[in-house]
Amino acid sequence: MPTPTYVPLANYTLPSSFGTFSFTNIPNTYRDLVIVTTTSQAVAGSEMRIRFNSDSGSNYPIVYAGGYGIGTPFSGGSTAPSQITPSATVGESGTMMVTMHILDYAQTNKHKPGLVRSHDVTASGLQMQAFRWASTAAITSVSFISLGGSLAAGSTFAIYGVHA
Amino acid sequence: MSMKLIETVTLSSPTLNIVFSSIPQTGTDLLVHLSARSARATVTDDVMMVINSDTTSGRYTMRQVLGSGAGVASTSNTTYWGMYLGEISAANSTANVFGSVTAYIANYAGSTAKHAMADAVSENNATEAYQHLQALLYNQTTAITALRLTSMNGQNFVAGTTASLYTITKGSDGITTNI
Repeated sequence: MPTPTYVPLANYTLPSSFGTFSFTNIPNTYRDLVIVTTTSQAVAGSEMRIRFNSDSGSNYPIVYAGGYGIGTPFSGGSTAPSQITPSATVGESGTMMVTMHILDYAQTNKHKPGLVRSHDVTASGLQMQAFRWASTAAITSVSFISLGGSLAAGSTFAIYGVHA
Repeated sequence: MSMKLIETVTLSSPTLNIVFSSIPQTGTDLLVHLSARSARATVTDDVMMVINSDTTSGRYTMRQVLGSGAGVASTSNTTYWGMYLGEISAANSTANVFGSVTAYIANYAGSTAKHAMADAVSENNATEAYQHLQALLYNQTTAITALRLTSMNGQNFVAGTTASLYTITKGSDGITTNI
C-alpha cells in the first residue's frame, strides 16, 4: 500500500470572528506540514500573522518577493521578525489565500525552514516567502493572529501531515 | 489518504483541449499538474484553465509576477475568459522540451468565490524562458465540476502532453485540535 500523502490532521471554518485561531497538539509523526488557509479580516486594513508554539520572539528570519499586478515587483528580507506575515502589503483587503509548507517540523536538531505563498487578488497582490523558525523545538502548534482586528467568519484553515 | 488522483490524461496526438469533467464533489481543494508543449510557432504559448465551461469575461482576475531571465515584471488582468496559468514551451523552443504548470484551487466544491495559485515555467535551452507566479480568482460561487486546459491562442498541445487532476480532502486525525 503506498504511503499516504497529505494526511489530513485538522480543519476548521470560523463560525464567527476570532482574534486568534490555532492548531494545537500537532503530532510529531510526520516529516512535513502543509497548511492551506483562506481568510479575510473583519476589520479592513488588519493583517494576519503566523507564529509557532506561541513564540513571539524575533525568531522568524525571512526573504520574500512579490508583486501587486502593477508597477515594479518587490523583494527583500528581514533577520528578526517576530512572526510570519503572509500579506504582500500592510493591511489586507478581501480574501487572502495562503499555502505554507513547513519542512522537518518535528526535528529537534535543526531550525525549521518553510515556504509561504500568499495572494489577495482584490488588493494586495501576491508574495512568496522563505522563512526559518530559529528554534530546535518541534512544532506542536501554529497560531493565526489578526493584528488590528479579527479573522472574519467563514475563514477556513486546514493542516496536513506529509510522511517521509 | 487525503491527496487522491482523479484522472491523468496523456495525449497521443495533437489536441486542443484537455478536459476534466464530472469532478467529484467530495474533496476540499483541487491540484492540477500539467507537463505540456504547444504547437504554436513561437517559443512559448499561454495556458488557460476554464472553469465549468464559463468563458465569460470579467469573471476571472489575475495578478502575476513573471521573470524572463533578463527582467521581472508584475501585471494584472480582469478580462480574461479563463484562469491564466502562465507560459509553456512551444514549437520554437528546444526540441523535446515541455513546460510545467501547477495550479492549486482552494475550496472548489464550496459556495464562495474560487481562489487559486499557479506556477508555470517554459523550459528552453536558450535565453528566452519564463517563470510565472499567479494569484487567480474566479468570482462565481458555484462549485467546480469541470476544468478545461487549453491554449489562449487556439493552438494544440502536442503528443506527450500530460495533465493530472488530484483532490485534496481536509479532515481530522482526532489528535490535532483547534481553538
